[in-house]
Amino acid sequence: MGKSNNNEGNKLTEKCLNKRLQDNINLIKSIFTKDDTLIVREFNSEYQGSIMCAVIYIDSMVNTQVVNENIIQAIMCTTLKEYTINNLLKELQNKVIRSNEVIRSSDMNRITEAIIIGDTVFLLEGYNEALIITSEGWQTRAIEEPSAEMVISGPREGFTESIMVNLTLIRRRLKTPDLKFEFKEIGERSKTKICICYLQELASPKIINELFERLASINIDGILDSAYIEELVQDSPYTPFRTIGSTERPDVVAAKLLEGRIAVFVDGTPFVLTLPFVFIEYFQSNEDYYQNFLMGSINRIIRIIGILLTISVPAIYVSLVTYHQEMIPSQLLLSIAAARKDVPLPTIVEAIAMLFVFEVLRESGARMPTSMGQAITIVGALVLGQAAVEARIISAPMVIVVALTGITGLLIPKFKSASIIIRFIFLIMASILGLYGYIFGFMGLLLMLFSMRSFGVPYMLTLNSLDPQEVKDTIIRAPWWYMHYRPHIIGAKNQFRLKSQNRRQNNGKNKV
Amino acid sequence: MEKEIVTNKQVINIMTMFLIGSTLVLGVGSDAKQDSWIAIIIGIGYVIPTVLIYSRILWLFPGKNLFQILERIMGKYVGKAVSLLFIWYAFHLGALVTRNFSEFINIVALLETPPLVPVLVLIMLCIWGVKEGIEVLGRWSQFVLPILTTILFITVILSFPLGDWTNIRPIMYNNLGPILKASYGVFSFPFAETVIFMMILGGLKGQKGYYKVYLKSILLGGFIVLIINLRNIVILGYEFIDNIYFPSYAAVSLINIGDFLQRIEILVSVVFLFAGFIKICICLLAVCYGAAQVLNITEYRILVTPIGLMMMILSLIIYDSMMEMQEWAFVYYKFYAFPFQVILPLIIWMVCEIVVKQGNKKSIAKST
Repeated sequence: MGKSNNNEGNKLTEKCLNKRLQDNINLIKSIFTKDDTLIVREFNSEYQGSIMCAVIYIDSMVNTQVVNENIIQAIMCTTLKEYTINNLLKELQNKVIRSNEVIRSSDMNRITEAIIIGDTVFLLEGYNEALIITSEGWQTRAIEEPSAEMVISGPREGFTESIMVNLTLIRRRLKTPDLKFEFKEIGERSKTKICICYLQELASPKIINELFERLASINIDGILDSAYIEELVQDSPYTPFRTIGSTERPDVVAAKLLEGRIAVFVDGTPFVLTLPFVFIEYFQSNEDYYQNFLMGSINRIIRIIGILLTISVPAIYVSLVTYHQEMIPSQLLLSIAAARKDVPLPTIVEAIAMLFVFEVLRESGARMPTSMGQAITIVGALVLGQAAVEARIISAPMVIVVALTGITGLLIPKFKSASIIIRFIFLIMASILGLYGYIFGFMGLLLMLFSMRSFGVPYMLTLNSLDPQEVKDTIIRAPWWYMHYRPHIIGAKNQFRLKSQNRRQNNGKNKV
Repeated sequence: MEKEIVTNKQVINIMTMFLIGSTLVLGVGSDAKQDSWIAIIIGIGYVIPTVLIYSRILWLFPGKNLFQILERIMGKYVGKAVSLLFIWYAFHLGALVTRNFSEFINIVALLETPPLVPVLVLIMLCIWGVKEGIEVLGRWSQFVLPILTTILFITVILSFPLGDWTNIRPIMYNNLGPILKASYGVFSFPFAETVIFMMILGGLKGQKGYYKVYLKSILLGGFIVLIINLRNIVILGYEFIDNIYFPSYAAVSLINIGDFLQRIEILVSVVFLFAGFIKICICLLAVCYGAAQVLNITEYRILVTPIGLMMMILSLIIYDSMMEMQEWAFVYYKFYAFPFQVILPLIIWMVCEIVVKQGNKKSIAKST
């Protein structure tokens, strides 16, 4: 692949512009042969001595208004008083063409690239140079609220597929020259523009360097979404946990930048990566910070309990029913036994079958056209609930267990892949060794989490510490005036988040 | 050997878990009958000078673990031979703890499951943990220990209504004799087993507060063991404790709050499994460090899997029954462990002091 690319590149550089306009047009046409979206418009203007010129662009990649009014109309209708045949191109560039960026170039690679990304190329008879005029103008989606990350309170803007729009959204939130945007191009064929964004005063230079090193080692032909980058540069790629965060919300990215993290924007996708990503970020929602801190803390604890439940409930149920019946209160044990009396399957088979069907329902719900939603709901509710129980294929407690697992699993959609795998492993362990298997599984899970790192930062950062300063933004969300410091290690360069404890001390005193 | 960073706090957590690991489930000091809590206090008293010796040895040679010190002070061959003794001790201890596990699981829960199954799972976890290194284990225990202590103290509080304080009376009815005897048992299992930490601590970066680490963990672990032991006597009475294998488990299983909160003895298993896991990991780690030092291997990680599996096999063949295990743990173990826990460290300490003094004299002579 690399070889053919080199050949292509060589071919382009071999051909270069000469002074005849028609040759140049033919040259570009030959590069874009069999590509009918290429538009070549030749014209001349009596004001400039009727010298032939041409604009070349790709249909619908350019803003037609710009090409019409600022280039063609401008050249046709403007009188240049002093010009010679030698400085005509320069005069046009400086005095006639109304565009914010006009570059003079004779590099054939660059010209081709400019045409591809939606710039207009201007050629003039008698010159072996061309003007590259910025004129990109394609359709983009409007800024909308992201449907995957809804909030009740807080900003509703979401990223779009256009990288420049996304960068504006960040720039508008952090108005400081300290905010750096570094561009890079990745993908041999897709030539995707990506942007690494960070606050220089806060972000750790070590992590930035590490990121650039890892990005430089990427060798792939196309990047269509930020997930490609994520998978190619993340740590611990074989674990079900993600070590790079991604979000569609500019407010989230701005908050992460303020904690000293780094954001990676990828052109063509509204998902922006933030790194390093530590485990507790799964549980932090941007809404925690837009609400009262009590509410935020309660929601966060609910999320943590929910995740614990979704990975544990099937395993605990199976081990209790198969191995540790004595631990169930007698009343409950009797009703479970009554429900299970006619069920032919062992509990573990029941559990795996039900969980599998639930995952199938979930996946089909995400993929199918919306109009079929009704059918799935009815089939799911009837077949899995009522009918299966009445037919004595599945016991009623198992339906409750699976329902609880499913609902709690939806609390944090991003945790989905991890929770499915962990839940399944726990289930298998519990079916072999009862609760002891489950405990072993949990020990393994903790071991895995504590051994992981994200860009050199321990994945369970500060979760192993009971230091009050470290707990403030983990399982609870402390009020802002208690969170003086950024999470350490990540924001190590400038730890102070708040300058003074203004709020708390002033409380009450202001009234006097 | 590659150096890993563990903070003092993390080592204290590891060591506390190491101490409470198998102790909580097997129970200690039963020779002293109702006075076993006094035996524990005296045992802690015995162990403090001993750990001061351990810390002193490590302190004399900062940045070196026991095996490296042995080679340094006794020469290559004698040093390696003594290292082998310690490696055996750690290896054997690891196998004993593993066996405790499998007996516990087999007796209280999985009667018909072959002991190989839980032990294999456990040893694989330990191999994984040891391969991740002491740093991960340190952070892991720092996270887990607070949870375990919370569980323990909840069970203690919940068992208050069951307590019968006449169970610990009469205090010192049999005079000091049996108490002292039992306290030596407490000294050798679990407190002086911390000799294992000499084999791993020295090679760690930034480890200076050996004294602090040892004393703090002995006191913290000793406190937990004392409280749990006291609870067991007060709830069950020593006659009953003598007749059962796992007193903590039995004591917690009696808890019944309003017919709803009952049969929560699985919580004890949680504590036992987590703490015991750390204990096996530390033994395995010590064996691997030692083996790597003796065999001149720079990376101990390649040794972990074979040694771990060997430990598992030893644990399966080492006893015939639970009775034998108890007899070994409470009757013979203290005599067996004495050379490793006291005699050898004493000799090493004296040699260390001599070597260091001579070294100092030499360096002074050189400088003048």
